[in-house]
Amino acid sequence: MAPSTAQMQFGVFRAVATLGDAVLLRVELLGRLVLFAIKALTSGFDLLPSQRAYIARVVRTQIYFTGCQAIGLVSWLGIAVGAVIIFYACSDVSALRSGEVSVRLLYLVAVKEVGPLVCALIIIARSGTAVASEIGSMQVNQEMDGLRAVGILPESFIVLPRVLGGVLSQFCLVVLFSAMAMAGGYLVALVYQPMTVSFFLACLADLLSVSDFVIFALKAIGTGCIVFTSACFFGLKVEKSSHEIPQCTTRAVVTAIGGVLFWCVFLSFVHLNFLSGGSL
Amino acid sequence: MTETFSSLQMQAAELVSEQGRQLLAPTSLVIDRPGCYRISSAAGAGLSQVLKLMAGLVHPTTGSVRWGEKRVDDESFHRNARDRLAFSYVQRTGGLLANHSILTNTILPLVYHGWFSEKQALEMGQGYLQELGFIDEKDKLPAWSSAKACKLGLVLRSLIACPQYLILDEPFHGLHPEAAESLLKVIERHQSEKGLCVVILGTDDSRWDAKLRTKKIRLQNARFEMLFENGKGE
Repeated sequence: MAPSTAQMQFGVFRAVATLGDAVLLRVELLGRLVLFAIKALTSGFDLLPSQRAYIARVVRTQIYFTGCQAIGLVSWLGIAVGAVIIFYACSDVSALRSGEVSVRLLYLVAVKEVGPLVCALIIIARSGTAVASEIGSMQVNQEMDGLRAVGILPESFIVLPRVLGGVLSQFCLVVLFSAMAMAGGYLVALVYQPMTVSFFLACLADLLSVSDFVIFALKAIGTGCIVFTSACFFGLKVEKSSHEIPQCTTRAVVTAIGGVLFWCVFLSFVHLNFLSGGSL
Repeated sequence: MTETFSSLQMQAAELVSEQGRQLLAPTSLVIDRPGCYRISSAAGAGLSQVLKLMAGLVHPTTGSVRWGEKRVDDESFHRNARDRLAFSYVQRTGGLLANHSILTNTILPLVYHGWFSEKQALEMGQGYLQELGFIDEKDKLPAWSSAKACKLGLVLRSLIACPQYLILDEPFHGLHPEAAESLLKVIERHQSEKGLCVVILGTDDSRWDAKLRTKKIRLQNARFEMLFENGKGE
């Protein structure tokens, strides 16, 4: 029997309501994450000099684990991505064999779009999971209560240095990835279109603009902030049991991936439509 | 400057767990300093949560908890480390930072709040560890240390900052009598020299708790009952 009009309307209404609930939940989560990040970052203003020195030590440790230990992986990935882009472009499209076009393509794809995204995915896999599970374990082991009991706020002692160290590391890794991608791309481009380094750099300099740099920085800093805020937020959601740790880590990773993708797409859209006048 | 707090007051404070169980019916209680209070209850009555309530780590569902004239659910109060550290809470298990050694855990509040240089704090911490007989474990991480070192390190971390109130959740549970005796001596010294008020949770009536107790309180059916007041060594 075919559904009546009332039944169909009810079905549509339920689908819209479900969709609305899902959107509202995500908006609420976004609001909580933003507030959490603001609280953690502003807690830095209340710190005494001795506390700043202690936090700086933790920031350095975080940079070592997130940034320094990922240098090799990010460098090789950067070289590989740059090389592959130029390899396929020059093999398939004869127009791209022009040196200027190759550099332009490399810049657009590897530096502006892929770099921040790939680096964010690397730090989600390497450090986001580590931070979420570390904080979750601290919760289970009642380390946060122990800190509060001796007058140390977890927002400034645990969250702030991880977010700061993570953001700085992500920014540096994105710059490194971009540089390596350009180097890898240049080496492969030499096979198809011999060009000097000075020509390559001159083409690159022509492409650079202030708006590009602003969007690049916003992508790098924003993605770092999303990954580490999400890791700390969900790590602190663990309450008493160790079985909550993998659950919260998974939620941190999924939220971070969604947030990073949204942020990168949003900034690219803004850049293309409002800052560069629709031209690449 | 640290304010001197002469009392810990619970004013019609009620505590309900997340599962909806009433752990503490609206209760008023004043714990004056100095002194020693031993609170007991049947196991699973939620007394650890009540101690956290006194320590300002959990907020009352209704009513208030005050340290002196200050409400402990006031966020700005917790940002003042000196005031916050006047009331120190030591949980039964865990609590030490897993990536810090026993010694650096012990001196953390002194170094973090900048009250002593790292060198001075290390000397002070080593002195305490020596006194309590676990100096050989000072550089070990908690996971590689004995249960005794973890327990004593946790109590010392609170005691080293010279609190006015020390709230201890079963401090002698699982401790060797010799270690408990040493800890007791340190606590007694802080009591007599610095006017420390000790609030101890002890579900078991061990002889160590008995040595310190002066006032005994029982949590029964989510209400406090003052059982008796007597001198040391009852």
